[in-house]
Amino acid sequence: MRKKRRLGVNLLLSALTFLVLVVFAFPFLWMLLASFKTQAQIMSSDHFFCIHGER
Amino acid sequence: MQYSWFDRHLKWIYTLPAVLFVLLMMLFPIIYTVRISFFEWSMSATTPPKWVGLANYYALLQDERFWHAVGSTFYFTLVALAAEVILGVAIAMLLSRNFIGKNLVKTVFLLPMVATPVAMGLVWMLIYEPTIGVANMMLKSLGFEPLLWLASPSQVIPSLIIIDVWEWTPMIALIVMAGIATLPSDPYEAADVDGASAWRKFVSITLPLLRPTILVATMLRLIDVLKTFDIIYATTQGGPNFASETLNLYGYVLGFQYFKLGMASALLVLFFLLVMGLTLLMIWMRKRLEGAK
Repeated sequence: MRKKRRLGVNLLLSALTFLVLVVFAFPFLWMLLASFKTQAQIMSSDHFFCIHGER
Repeated sequence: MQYSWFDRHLKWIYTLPAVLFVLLMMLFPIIYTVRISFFEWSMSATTPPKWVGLANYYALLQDERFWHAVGSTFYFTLVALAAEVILGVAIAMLLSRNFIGKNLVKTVFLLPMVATPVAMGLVWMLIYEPTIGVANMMLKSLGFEPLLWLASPSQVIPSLIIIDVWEWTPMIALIVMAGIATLPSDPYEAADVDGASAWRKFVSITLPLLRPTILVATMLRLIDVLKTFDIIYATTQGGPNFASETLNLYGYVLGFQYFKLGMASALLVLFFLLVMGLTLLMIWMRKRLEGAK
């Protein structure tokens, strides 16, 4: 029972760490993606996160 | 035994370069600013500065825009500082555990702190853009109404606080992580023997032992948050409708857009006294807490 609880807490803390990582890295990811896109692709929010650009 | 003049004054000679540096680089600008604050001057080479006494200070204290800037500065500082300290301590606790990829996570987490503030300000400006920005795209996908972010007078300071928290929470976390690394293990072992829960150990051992570290981190950030200029200037330049104009920004506008150098200097003197007062208050609080131990 105690082992299960510890595993649950560890999973929760790992998920929190991942969330923190995503939040703090997001603007850099956005900047990196924007550097590979044209002005029109950046302005089109629908297609911003598509790797292949316009579909 | 006879000592030469050089030997007798050795301590003064060795400290002279540092004393001269402080006098020239730190004291001179402060004294010059205080002097200019008693003059009316528009940086003109043809019109010399005119002595006006305390008129600049009086005009400033009657200026509604000045008091609005005081309010904005305090609002921005208090909320950003509180959020940064709480999040910084929480994230430091989270990252002080042992887990796979800890160094990678720590490196990514510290990136905002080393990024250029103006460049990041521009990135956040595009993220916050009301029509094409990612922030509204996320809100819409979660079923919320889109916001105006930096374009709304009521939302601009909270939006700037988010940027500041994103950029500077890592600094608080870094200082607290250094503090956690130096904590002794004995109290935790004793708490384990007593069967204390993780929360009890955090509240009764970790937080009291970390208090001096947290206070130092808070003091450093307080001074910096009060003086925030780069992010605000890069994103809103004090707008919309002066809603995000802090004291630092108003001082810049008075000096380099309206060319009221005397009034800008008066504002900066008052701002300097405010920053110094708050810093002394923090030092006094720290000493009092240390004395109470």
